[in-house]
Amino acid sequence: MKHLLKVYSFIFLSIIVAIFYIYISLQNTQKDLSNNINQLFIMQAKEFALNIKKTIKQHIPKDVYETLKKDKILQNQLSDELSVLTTHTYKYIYLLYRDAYGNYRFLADGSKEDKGEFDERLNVDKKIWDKAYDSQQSTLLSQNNLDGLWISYIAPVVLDGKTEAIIGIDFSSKVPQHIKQTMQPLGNGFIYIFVAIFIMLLILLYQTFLNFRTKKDAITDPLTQAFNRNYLRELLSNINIAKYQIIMLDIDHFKQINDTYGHKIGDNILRDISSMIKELIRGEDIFVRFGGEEFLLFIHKKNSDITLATTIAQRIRKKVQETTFHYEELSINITVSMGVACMPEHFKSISDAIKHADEMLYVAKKEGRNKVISTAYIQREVPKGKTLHINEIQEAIEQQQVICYYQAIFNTQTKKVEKYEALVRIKKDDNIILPNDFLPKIMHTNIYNQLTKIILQTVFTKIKQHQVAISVNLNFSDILNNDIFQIIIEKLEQNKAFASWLIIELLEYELLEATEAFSEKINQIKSYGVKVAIDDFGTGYANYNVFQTIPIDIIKIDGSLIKNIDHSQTSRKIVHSIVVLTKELGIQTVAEFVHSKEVMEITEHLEIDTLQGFYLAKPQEDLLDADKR
Amino acid sequence: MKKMLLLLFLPFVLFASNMQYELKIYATLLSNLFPNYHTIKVWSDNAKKSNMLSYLSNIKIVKDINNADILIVQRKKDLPKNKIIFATNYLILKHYKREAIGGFYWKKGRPNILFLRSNLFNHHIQLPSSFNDFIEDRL
Repeated sequence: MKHLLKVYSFIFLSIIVAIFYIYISLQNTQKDLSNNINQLFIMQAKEFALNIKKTIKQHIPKDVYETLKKDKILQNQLSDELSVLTTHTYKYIYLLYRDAYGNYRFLADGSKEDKGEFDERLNVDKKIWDKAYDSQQSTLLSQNNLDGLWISYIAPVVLDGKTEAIIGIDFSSKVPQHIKQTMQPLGNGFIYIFVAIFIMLLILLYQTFLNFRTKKDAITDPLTQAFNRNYLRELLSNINIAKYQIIMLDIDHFKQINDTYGHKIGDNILRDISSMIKELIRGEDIFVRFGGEEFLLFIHKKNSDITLATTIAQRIRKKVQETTFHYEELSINITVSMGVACMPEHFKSISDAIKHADEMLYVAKKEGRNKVISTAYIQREVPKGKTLHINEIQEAIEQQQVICYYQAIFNTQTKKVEKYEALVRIKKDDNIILPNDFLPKIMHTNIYNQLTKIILQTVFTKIKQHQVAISVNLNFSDILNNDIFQIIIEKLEQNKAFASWLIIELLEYELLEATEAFSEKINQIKSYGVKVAIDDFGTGYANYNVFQTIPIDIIKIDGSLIKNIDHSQTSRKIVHSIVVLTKELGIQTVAEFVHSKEVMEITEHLEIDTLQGFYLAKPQEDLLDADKR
Repeated sequence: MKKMLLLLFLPFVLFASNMQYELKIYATLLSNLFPNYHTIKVWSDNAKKSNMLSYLSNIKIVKDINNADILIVQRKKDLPKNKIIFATNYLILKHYKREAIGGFYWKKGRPNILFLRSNLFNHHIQLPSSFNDFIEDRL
């Protein structure tokens, strides 16, 4: 829209400049034309003067004054000839001589009115007339001071080398007026054109303004004056997402506010928070009402500052938190939660990036609201190490550097390897890079989907080779993600005969609201004979409700409970209760982090079905040798 | 009051014509012809000229020709003898060439002023030297 305004302004200015240029050119043309016409009149006067001289020389070979003084008929004849040439343009044409006192007197006069008599004195500008008389050169004289006269052309009549008389031709002051009048239609035409163009421009501007306002109304939310979903739809098809970071903002407990104070107050809050947000973002940022009390902000990245959107989000959060909103007699304090997608360009699509920001918002709400959660925040929790850049991860996938390590899980009774857990690694320049150093970066990106596909294929290859059960770790959200779910189904279809060897471990740190859709998908996976395990059960987001909603085959008791089990009675009691419950439900148990003989003995004593840990076997690239199994 | 109003509008009236120029000439001329007069009594047969000259502060327009110090004449008529006559065109000046001291008129858009030496002498009028260029022995 701003771009369109700039274009219109440019066109408008160009037209004004063009009109101004044409006007100046026209003025110059008028001046040139006027000069040319003047020259034509002067040329004509010179021609007249030549003809008069010829006539005088023809009739009076010498001593003009004396000859004319004696010959009245010749005087009249000469005056008549001069009168023929007298017109509105050439107002006065006369013949003078200079007397002994240096005064100029009439010899003949072509005028009908105001006629000068023979020998009558005429006051002229003697200085100039004398110069012409003495130099015997014709002169053009401007007559600005004389009423009714414009210029005078004076031409001496020289006989036998002596100036005998001088011809005066006075141009009427109406000549330049006539020229000006002749030019007037041209100037008027230009003014009419200019006025017409100007009116058209005004109409165009008005139309543009109406168009702009209509378009603005169509894409603006009337309550908050933020952009609406219409604009978002248009934006999503045009936006270069690499230039923006995304913030998803939600007003905390807004439904409660609406229910308590009424919709009018709710609307006021929406409007005031929107105004506040608009003041805190910059002109180049885009502010969209996503729906209800949810807003989307596209923060323009000026440089590679990954924390910009988070900083702005924190500023908004703080400002809202510190503000008390007063309506009528009410004082209301409000908070907002925000999720930030710091690197939307790493997502498969803009919709995925928005979805990610929404997920971050979800985390912010889960963590108690009035929070800003960003990808960067999650990544800061990743241990420092050989953290890979997203491009390096992509490169590793392309160069087939993604491999699986396998850690054996032993049966407590038989002491034999019952299954393996596949653990993803990137093998780069003889370095083995652990998942914590690359997985968070690609979470929710298309690269993550590619990686899932590779791991499933690798694991199925191993199962085919060794006919052994292997578990792979997936997130709850992976199952909900249609793209990843399709990959899982595709791989299960391709390896139908070996699907029953596969165990999917769902990582519990992922937030879960086991929806109907999730249950349906898990059941579809299980229909291939796949077993489902819950990882890290017993801490964090552990919820016994999971047993009611998901058909679980195995639970892996969280490592933090197992590793201290030899010292902590509490841990031992919690593990015991989990084992009792799972046995009742027919669910197999796995103890992780078995790192010592003592821990192994206690877990055996607690009758945990299978054991896993460095004490028993470390993860390695190949499966254990058959004799060690 | 009338004079005040006329004076107020005079610049606009004069600006539109040669009147301003002509008035200046008459003012100079009359003050030089009658250097010791506090009020110069002028008679004219031209109403326009009378009206114009009435704007000058030291001029009094008189209706009685005999009471006038100078007669500004446009048409031929019987005039009292020994009165100073000043013509307003060349033909009248020619007509009164034995009596008139001079004339002022427009010719070919140019102001023309001339005095006749003999008549100035007859009336014992001595003009300043700046007028010399306009004094003629003949017409």
